[in-house]
Amino acid sequence: MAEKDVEISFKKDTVSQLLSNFFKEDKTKLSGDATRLMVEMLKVFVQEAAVRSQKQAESEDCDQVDIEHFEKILPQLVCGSTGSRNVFVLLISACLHSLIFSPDYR
Amino acid sequence: MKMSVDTEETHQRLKAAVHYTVGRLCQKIGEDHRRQFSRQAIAAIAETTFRQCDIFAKDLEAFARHAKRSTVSVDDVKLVARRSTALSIYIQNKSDELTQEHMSLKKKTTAKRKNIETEEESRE
Repeated sequence: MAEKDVEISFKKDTVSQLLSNFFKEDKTKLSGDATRLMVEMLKVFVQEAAVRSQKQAESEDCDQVDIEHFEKILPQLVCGSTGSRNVFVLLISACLHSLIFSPDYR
Repeated sequence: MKMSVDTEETHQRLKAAVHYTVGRLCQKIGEDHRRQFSRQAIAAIAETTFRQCDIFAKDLEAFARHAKRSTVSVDDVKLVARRSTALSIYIQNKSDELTQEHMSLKKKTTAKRKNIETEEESRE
């Protein structure tokens, strides 16, 4: 039961590896504090996604939060206030279905 | 060839790690609102988070480079968070907490050092 009190978050090590993996250049490094802030950033990102999806499911009177609820909130989540990444969101949305329902997705 | 297999492996391992934490976070929020998240919904949020990481990483790298640094700093993270007011305030607060922490750590170590010095002096 004590586990309930522990705050769920990403591991610092995971975030650091994750970001380093996506850097274009090998010489790019992450400072310790920057990593800790990114841990928070990602946590907030996921919580936003989950809470907004949950609200969407609630407004549709569904007992379960499903992929279509998440898809409906995806544009605001990724774009923020600007529409510059609209094309990108549409792409993700299209990719998601094929990815998640493809047999090799584990 | 071996190299690409290795990177693919790390890629999958990191994806799995993200999926795991996203699952736990969603479960927690689901419990709070008495609504379960379907496995597909969790998979979709995890996939999006993973891709968002790519965007974050590329932005951070570009910001650091623009400042002629090769190490991503706290300031770069603040720039990434700037689009959303709430998020940037949150990140600013967290960053302040971190600096406070460092300050108190420094004070502690200097205090310790002083203690040791005074101890040594009293011994003499």
